[in-house]
Amino acid sequence: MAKILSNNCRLYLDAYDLTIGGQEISLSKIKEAKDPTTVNDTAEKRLMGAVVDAEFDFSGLFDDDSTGAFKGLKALVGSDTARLLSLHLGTAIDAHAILAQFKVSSVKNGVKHGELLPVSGVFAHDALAAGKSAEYGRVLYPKTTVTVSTNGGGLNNAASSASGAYWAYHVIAWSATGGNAKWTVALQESSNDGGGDPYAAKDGPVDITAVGATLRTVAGTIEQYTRLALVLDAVSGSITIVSTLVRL
Amino acid sequence: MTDVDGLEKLYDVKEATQLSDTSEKRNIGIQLSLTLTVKGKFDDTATSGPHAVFSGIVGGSTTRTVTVVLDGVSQYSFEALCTKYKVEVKNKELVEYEATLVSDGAVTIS
Repeated sequence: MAKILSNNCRLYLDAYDLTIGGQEISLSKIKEAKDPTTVNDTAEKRLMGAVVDAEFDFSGLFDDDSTGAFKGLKALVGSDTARLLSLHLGTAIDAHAILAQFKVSSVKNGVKHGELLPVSGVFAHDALAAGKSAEYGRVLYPKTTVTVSTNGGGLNNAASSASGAYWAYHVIAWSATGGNAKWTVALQESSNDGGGDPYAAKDGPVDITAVGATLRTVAGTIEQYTRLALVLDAVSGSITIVSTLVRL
Repeated sequence: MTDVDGLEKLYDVKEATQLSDTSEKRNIGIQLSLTLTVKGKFDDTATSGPHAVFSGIVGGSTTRTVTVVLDGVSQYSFEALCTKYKVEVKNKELVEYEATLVSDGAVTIS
């Protein structure tokens, strides 16, 4: 029975780490119940509605970090492009995670004598896909900066699953010089964490040549173990990346 | 779980006063749906823990039986839909959750 301290949580919106400056975060999955009560009923009835939604609230402190909350909200506010959001309830592979998508409609600051400057945002939910809102999954790869090709540790699902998955990754920073001047990222799978069944690509590899967030829909059966595989396709470079996996 | 809010067996009240009445009159109407809010510290215990339970039923169309036992004897019972599941992270605090359940049909107290 595990409780989680807030300082183990991380929040990513597009290419930004909202944990930098973040103080209060809430993320909800919502579906409204409808009232089908008729005149002959002696007690009110409820039926679940058809449209699922999500709510996201965020507030914190102004921080001038180039990849932090204020710079992120400032860059994204007013854009009609939905932004991928990952809330990680831990910093290790297999920590619980929630994946959703929002548009940023407001960034707000203030000044109060003697106080640290606050920042908050207002967000409009825009579904990942039909019938989806806030989806529950796991941390596939915690935020890490690497400078060489790297494979993440295996994420154990206890069994394979047959309904595919959402695989999301946020590239917070990157550089690549020489050669093909890029990174590639792939979702790999194995039935036994690479023991007798070597990891093989389930999705990708996908080229990375910019910061930003990407949502990939992976179809079909996924083996029990998955991992992130990063390849530096250049002479030198660096990448800061974090990833979430939601089995459907 | 730390808080349970909204536990109530509530009936609608209708105004029945007529012109000839010298005092206001009321009629009891149908039983109203209750909205129960359950709060606690986020817990990832498999299968029976709050995250496993509420993340699995939120938005689902199948009602779930809810029983709230007050003193080991008296209890509320009703069928409910989970319409909201919230995860909340606050600076320096343990992560918390809040789930909203709305009753479908009668609420009984036994």
